[in-house]
Order: sequence, then C-alpha cells, then structure tokens
Amino acid sequence: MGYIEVARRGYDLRTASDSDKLFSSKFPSLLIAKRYLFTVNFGGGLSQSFLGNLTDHGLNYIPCFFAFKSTDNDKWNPTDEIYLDESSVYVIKKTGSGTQYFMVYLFFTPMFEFYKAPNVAPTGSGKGSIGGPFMKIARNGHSVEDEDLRNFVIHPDSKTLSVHQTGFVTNPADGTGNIDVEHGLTYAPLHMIYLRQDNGGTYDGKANMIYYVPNSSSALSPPADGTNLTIPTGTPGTPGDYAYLILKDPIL
Amino acid sequence: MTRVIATFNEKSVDEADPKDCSVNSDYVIPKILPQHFDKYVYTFGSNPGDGTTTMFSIGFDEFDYLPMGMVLMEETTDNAGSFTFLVVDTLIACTRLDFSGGVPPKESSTLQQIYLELDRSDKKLYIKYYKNTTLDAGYAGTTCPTINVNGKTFTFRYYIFVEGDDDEDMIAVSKTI
Repeated sequence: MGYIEVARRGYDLRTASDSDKLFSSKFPSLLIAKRYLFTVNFGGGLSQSFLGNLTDHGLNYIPCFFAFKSTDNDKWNPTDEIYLDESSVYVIKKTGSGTQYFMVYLFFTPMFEFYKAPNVAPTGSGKGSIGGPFMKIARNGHSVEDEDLRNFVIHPDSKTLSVHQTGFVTNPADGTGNIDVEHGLTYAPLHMIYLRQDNGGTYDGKANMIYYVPNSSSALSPPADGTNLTIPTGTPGTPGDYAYLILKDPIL
Repeated sequence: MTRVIATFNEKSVDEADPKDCSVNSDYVIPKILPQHFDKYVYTFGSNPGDGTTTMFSIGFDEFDYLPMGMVLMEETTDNAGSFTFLVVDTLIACTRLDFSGGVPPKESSTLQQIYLELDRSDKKLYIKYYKNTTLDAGYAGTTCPTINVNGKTFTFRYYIFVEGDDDEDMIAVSKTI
C-alpha cells in the first residue's frame, strides 16, 4: 500500500525525521475535534457540573484534550479542573468562586486505546534544500491564499503535532509505584498524562490532565527520556487508569 | 470544494472516522511556528523572595487572539533530563504540616509554585514563580515535593501554537452553578 508524506519547508522528505513531517499517512496527527469556551458562575465550595456533551461532536469515547482556565478572560493557565468521561465534559472547581472561564481543546485521539506508531525515519537528518516545492492544505471553506494560519490544516512554515503512542496503565489501590512505558523513540518526546480515578466519589470515572499524583512523595513527573515515559502513579498514589499521549515531537 | 483525507490505518477514506486520519481537511492540526518554540534557562538566587516573580516572558504580537501554549520544565541542576509538564500552578515545594488536631503551626512554612500564564492583553506567554511563607490552610497535611530551588537552575521548553480562540469553531457555553 502506498502512502503520502509532506515535510516542512526547508526539510528534505527523504531525510526528514518523523517530527519534521507535516503529516504522514503512516501515523495519525493530533486533529482538533472541537473547541469549547465555558463561562461558569460558581457559588462557594467545591462545585461539580456537567458542561457539554461529547457525542454532539461524534466522540463516543474519552478523547485526549488540553484545558485552560482564567478568572478574568485575560490571563489563562493550564488547568486540572476539567474532567471528561465517555459522554460529557465536566468542571470540578477546586479553588475560587464567582465567574471563571475554561477553554477546552478536544482532540480526536482516543485517550484509552492502545496505539503505537511505526518509526518511519527515526534517525532522519532533517534539513534539505531551502525553497523547494511545498504543499499547503487549507481547512474546508478557506483558500490556500488565506493569511490566517488558523485556517490551515497543514502549512509549510509550521510544525504540526503527530501522535506516536497512546494507552494507559492501571494503578491499584495498594499501589505499584512508577510504571515505565517504552516508546521506542530515540529522544524524549512531548507528552501528556491523564488520570481516570477509580476510588468512588466525585472524581470517579472521570479523566483530567495531571502533572503529579496526590500522595506521591515526589510530585514532579519522572523523566520522559530517550527510552521510556515513566508514569508517576505514586506509592500507593491514587487508584485509577493513567493514560498517556506521546507525540512524535521531541522536547526540544 | 476539494476535500483532502488520508488515513494511517488502511481504512477506506470513505468510511474513516476522523480518529483514523493523518490529515483531514475538515479539521486542523495544532501548528507551531519556528519562532514560537525554544528553551530558556533560569537560575534562582540563594533565597528568592516572597510574592510573584516573572521568570520568563515571550510575546505573540502577531496573533490578535489568545493562542494555546504549553511548557515543560526541567530542574537542570540535579535532575537533568526529567521533564515536568506545567499543567496547573505546579507545586514545587511546601512544608508538610498536619492541622488535623486543630492546632495552628508555630513554625514558618512555605508554598512555592511555578506556572504558565498566557496573557491576552499583554500578548505574552509568562513563566512565573510564586512563593508564600504563610502556608494556606488548604494545603494542610498535603504531601508534596520539596525541591529546594535556592541557587538551582531550571530549563523551560515553551511552545506557542497557532491555534487558539477561533470564532468559527468555538462553542461558547454559559453556566451558573
């Protein structure tokens, strides 16, 4: 079966690494399914609320996502207060009251499916002839002459994010410690870790972005190095499924 | 209108779900311009002061909207090669106290955080450090890391995406709870 690949401007496709390809039909890209802007007016205390329905966007599984929060619609921080289950988006507020804003980017990449892409050119040397032929794909309804880069699916002047590996590990209530996931790349890749808790109560069955595990004595994630992504489940840590999204793109 | 679809798993493009696609002109892929990813090295002083310190900032003046951004942090002095994704106000140090007996602590305690902030009006990505010598009661009994930042070097990798606010694709929802 044939395949299609396009490299970034200035890179020779014959030698470009996978992360310097705008896309390859040998592995998935991180397609954005939908963007939400939630404006939520909270009362005091811990508040949980349903915000949106994933199935409205053709998603019948928990997708990978990024989420950001603002208290003034001006200054935004990544947040762990947005949760997804297999049908819905929720907010579970941990701090503050009054009006808060949440921006959520949903991707089509399933969070809890095992997938590992091939390394098509794991040792590619990269740069080739500058100014060679290039290719643009505009999103439907827009011209390739458009100047707003948001309206492009791929654009030769930019890098695009490609998915290398997804899956999850399970941490039981009595703990297993850190768990290594071998990614098979030759560099430390960009990644995200999510936790779907399995301990009853408010958070049960819902997945959020995490950077550390409550009750871990070492909160900072262990390294994503050239061999493994180490999932910091803690000992005993929080029971549940720890999902990982490993991108083709290296931590530069 | 011509559509472009390529699948990575040998499914027919006529039957493929978007999650089967390497490219699909119905959906954009997060993109980064070369000037919007790099690394920055910051070394703390021997005893950083209380309050908020801006460790790093970089502008995104060319965008008239709020882009998506992400930062990975590496404590370079002792843990080179260990990358932490800045998700929320990343707790890097606090004093472990137990308020369960209702007795307030007598000793001085600290809370230290490093976080990413995207500022719409300033059009900048910030990495900031926050220190508070009076521990908030909400962290009582919390088990947390104890990285001593004094004199330590941190390396940050930042990424600002083209994608962000997008009126065409954004669903706006208001809720009162």
